[in-house]
Amino acid sequence: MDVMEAISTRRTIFKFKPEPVPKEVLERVFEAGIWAPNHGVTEPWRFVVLGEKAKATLAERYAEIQIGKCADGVDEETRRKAGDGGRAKFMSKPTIIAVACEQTGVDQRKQEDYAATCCAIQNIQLAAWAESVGIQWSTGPITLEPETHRLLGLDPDTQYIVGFLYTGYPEVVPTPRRKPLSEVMTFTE
Amino acid sequence: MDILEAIHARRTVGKFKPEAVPRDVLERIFGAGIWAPNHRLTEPWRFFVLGDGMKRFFGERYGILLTRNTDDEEKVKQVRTNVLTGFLSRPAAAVISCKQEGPDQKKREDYAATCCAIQNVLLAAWSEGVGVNWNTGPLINDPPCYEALGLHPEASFIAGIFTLGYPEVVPDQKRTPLGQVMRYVP
Repeated sequence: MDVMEAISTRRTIFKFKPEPVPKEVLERVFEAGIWAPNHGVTEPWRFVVLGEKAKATLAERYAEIQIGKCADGVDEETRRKAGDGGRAKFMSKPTIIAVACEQTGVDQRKQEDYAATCCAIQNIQLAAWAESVGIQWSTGPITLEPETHRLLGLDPDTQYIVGFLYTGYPEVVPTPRRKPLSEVMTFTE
Repeated sequence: MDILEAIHARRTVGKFKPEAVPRDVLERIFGAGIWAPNHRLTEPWRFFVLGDGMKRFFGERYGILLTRNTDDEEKVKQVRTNVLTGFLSRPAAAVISCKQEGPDQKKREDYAATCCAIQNVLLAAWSEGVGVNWNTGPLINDPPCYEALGLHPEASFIAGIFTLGYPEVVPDQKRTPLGQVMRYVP
């Protein structure tokens, strides 16, 4: 796929077909990540592919978080439904990969390593799109919890989870909206 | 150009041919930036292509910042001249800034979106035969540079200063194999 086509047609995908992404496709896609620009070549990115056991454990936690979002005094039935909905939503993502970033050293380095990992994720999203694979980059309470880090063999003190990439073949491709370039680009004197 | 080819072959470029990058090419390159993924569609990125006056200002500021702890007047003068000449010799220069307002998590996500916009810009440039150097030196925290662009340091962050042009030299680059940074957990 052409560079400009991949960049301008890529969308965040929320609804997937049930099939998981084959391992060889996944590895081609993630290999694109390691070619991100990276000041000092620190290679701070870490990719952890969730197996069924880890996915089920996190789906339970995700369900708890959804229940926790219910207002005080909400009845048991509504809470149960919120939990079931959350669990089902998490389990509906065919393949989940946690992307973490090493965060050691001075603040400037931490920031640059985070930037490099974000660029790696963009490479991954574009390479995925060229393979007809869609991704949602998700951040939320679950990616920030130390328990999640430990489950995935990551150190919560030095390895920051930049996001979960929900990955699969798109069921629905959303319509994009962006301001015209002229509103965000200036040619100065 | 194929997207995977662009991703693998793209390099940071520091040495450029003297030819300018035409305005329509610059617009296509930065136009790729706005298609970055962006939580809540805040569109936090701003792209500034520096004209001759602004380029000179940034080149002068860079020299001043690099010599701020030097007492030797002769050396200060020499470094400032060299830095300015070097900066002006780059065929094009640009700044990409990012809005930084609201809660920390929003700031972080807006910075992440801007980094993705930058990666789009780097790849789009490469497919146009244009090389880019993403610089995060002292200028990105220099209040006079913010002021010159009409930015407020409390509300925006300069994510990078970019020099662009047609590559004279394309450096080699190495990466640790994927197997050492990717794991499968049960």
